[in-house]
Amino acid sequence: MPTHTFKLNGKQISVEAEDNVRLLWVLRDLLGVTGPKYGCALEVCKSCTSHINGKAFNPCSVQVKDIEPADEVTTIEGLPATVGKDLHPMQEAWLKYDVAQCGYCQPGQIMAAVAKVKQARAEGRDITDADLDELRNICRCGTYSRIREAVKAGAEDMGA
Amino acid sequence: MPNTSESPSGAGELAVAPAFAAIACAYARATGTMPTYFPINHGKLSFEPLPVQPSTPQSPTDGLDHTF
Repeated sequence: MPTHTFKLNGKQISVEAEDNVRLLWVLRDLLGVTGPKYGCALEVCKSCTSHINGKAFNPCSVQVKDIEPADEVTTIEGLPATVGKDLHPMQEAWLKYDVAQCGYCQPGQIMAAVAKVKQARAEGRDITDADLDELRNICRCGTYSRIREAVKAGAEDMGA
Repeated sequence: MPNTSESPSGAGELAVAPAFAAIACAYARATGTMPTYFPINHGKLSFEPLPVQPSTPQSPTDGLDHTF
């Protein structure tokens, strides 16, 4: 079986898996990193949203062979370390606004929100309602109003 | 659990059981036959069920084209 290597949450790791296995299963089943949730495996529900080189992506739809050795994959487990804290400001906002109901979609929601805020900042502006409309992460509990409040608050705490 | 707020909430599932009974009664009145089990009308399917194998399409492979 081929060996694949990439950077996961700050550590260079190697894993043996068939080329066409989607990264989500490599993370969850082979590496035991279960923060990215399995929802649809069709790139629709977005519950597995993680970061690749700082940008949001869905590991359910990426074959492990397409990940380069220099690629840096960050899951919700590695998010706080990207800011050198115990919790990322977006996670703090999540707690403050008591966002989660069942909680299943939350890792994906938070990862997508952080990427969306960074994307807006890179364009030199603050996050807008139009940006939030672009987040397609599904929450079956329907906590969208709290999610939007928390993303806006988290964006402020993330600084420039 | 004692209620901790002014407004009632969290009792949505309570309405499910009465809805079952109401539907059964409505069915009985409409058809003249009393249903004796749930799900009503599922003794014999009137359609060919879709195949369940494979249960889902293959996962896509274009995830890296949709980063943001």
